[in-house]
Amino acid sequence: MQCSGVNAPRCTGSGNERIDEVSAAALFTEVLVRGIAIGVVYALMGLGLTLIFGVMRIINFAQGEFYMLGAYVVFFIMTTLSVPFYVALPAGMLVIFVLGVVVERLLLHPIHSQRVQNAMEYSLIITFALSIFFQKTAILLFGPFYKKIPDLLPGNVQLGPVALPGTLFLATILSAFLILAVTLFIGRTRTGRAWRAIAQSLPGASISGVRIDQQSSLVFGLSTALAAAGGAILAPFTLIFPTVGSAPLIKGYEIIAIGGLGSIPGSLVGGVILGVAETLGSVYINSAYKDLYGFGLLMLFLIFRPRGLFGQAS
Amino acid sequence: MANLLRVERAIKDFGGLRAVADVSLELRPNEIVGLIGPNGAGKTTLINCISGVLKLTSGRVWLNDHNITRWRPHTICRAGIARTFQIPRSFPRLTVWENILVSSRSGEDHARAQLELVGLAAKADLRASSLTFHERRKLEIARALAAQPLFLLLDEVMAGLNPTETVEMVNLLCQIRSSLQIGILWVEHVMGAVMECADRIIVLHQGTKLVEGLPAEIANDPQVIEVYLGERYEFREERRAQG
Repeated sequence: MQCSGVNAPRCTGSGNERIDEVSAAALFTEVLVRGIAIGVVYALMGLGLTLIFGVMRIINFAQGEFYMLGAYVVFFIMTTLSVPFYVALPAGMLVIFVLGVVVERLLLHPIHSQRVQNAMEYSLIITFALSIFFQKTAILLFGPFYKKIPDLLPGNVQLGPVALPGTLFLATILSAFLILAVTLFIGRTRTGRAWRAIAQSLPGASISGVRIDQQSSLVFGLSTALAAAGGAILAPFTLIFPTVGSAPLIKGYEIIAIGGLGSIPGSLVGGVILGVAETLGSVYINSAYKDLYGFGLLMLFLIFRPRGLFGQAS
Repeated sequence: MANLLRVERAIKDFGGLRAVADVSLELRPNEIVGLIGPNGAGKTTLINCISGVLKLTSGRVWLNDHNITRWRPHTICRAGIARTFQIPRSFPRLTVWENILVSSRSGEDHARAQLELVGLAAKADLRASSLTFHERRKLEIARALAAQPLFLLLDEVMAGLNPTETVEMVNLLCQIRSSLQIGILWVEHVMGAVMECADRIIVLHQGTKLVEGLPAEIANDPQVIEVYLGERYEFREERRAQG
């Protein structure tokens, strides 16, 4: 791994070429695996946004703040109740789920009663305001200083030839588990079927007896709970502060734009693609521009395939 | 007490346009009431108002003793009024079976029976998007029936079907009426089908009820011929061809 670092490919050419080839290949594998691992965590954030957009056509600009609040709540549950992360995570998700349901009931309810002409614009403005409100409230309540959730699994985990930081490994496993659980829930349960029905034809679902307002609250709650999980899972890397949710929100929208709006497989693949692009770019080009690679990818998609990988052509 | 769906002096305005103007009607179990009239007469609007998709400007809708005028669509559906749309609103990326399950409230056996009734049981595992237009219509009817309705509102179920499919659909509707004992309010433009199948016909014109009567009376009513059917002779030709 002596070639790791910013300009790895330039290491080749000196000394024994065969060894350099091998180490270059090993580096690439390691970078790729790391990218995929981060991508799975990103996919979790994409999934939350996709869910609420796909089912209810709500663009949630406050998703990043639910991410931030999730990290704080899990942090405080861990420190005040001194319980391990694995207990605090589901508890924190539950808290944010309830918060999400309350927010939906209080602020987004007019969407369902035909009192709002353009539901998408309405939700956009409401959640944008909510995002600012939550950020400022967080500064008041928690102060501007960083909080840190300790590493979940110190040291590295050796996966065959590849070494992954233990915390990243665990974050990936947890994210993958949550994604799997949500996917199964949507595919196998009556509620999940109702969500898919709403996504495909809202009036059809409504006249089939599906309670749109109730389902919307549930979807919104689950979507925000997933954001909270993302915030808590990534907290050991990113620290916790009132504006920590801004970058994940943008990444989340990059992911669903790449994967295709409203498509669940799209958000998963989009997340992995973004993770890999960021990691490859950081290692082989320059790590200072990490966020640029995602945007570059997004622009390419918007130019050449605006509906994303799995999006429906309108 | 027999079930009764009653619309009382329904008025629906869209801005300055009065789409439905003071229409009253009653629907009982085991009868098919045809709702006909020229384009823009307010037929679909009326169905939308009864099923809760649109809200009446004034007037009331009663289901037995319940004033359901302001109820929301899902509540109305669960109370016993199911409907279809002219353009099928099935769920394209769910399977046929899942489509039925979305509206089913009385177990899988009942749901499967509806699928068999409309003749789609063999296609249960296909995606709804792979069905033909005719099959999607039947799927919508099965989905409506899976909600175990007392009354069924049909919006132009014949539109776009070929003659063979039309005959099949007429038979299906008659079968639904007789075997399930439900009342059907049926908006339709295909005259042959309505005349053959309906027990009673209501003609709407510019939002108001022009006449109501037995199919034979409607067919010969000079007002109806004037505003909708055209000349009597053409209509008889059409009926012979369809029948």
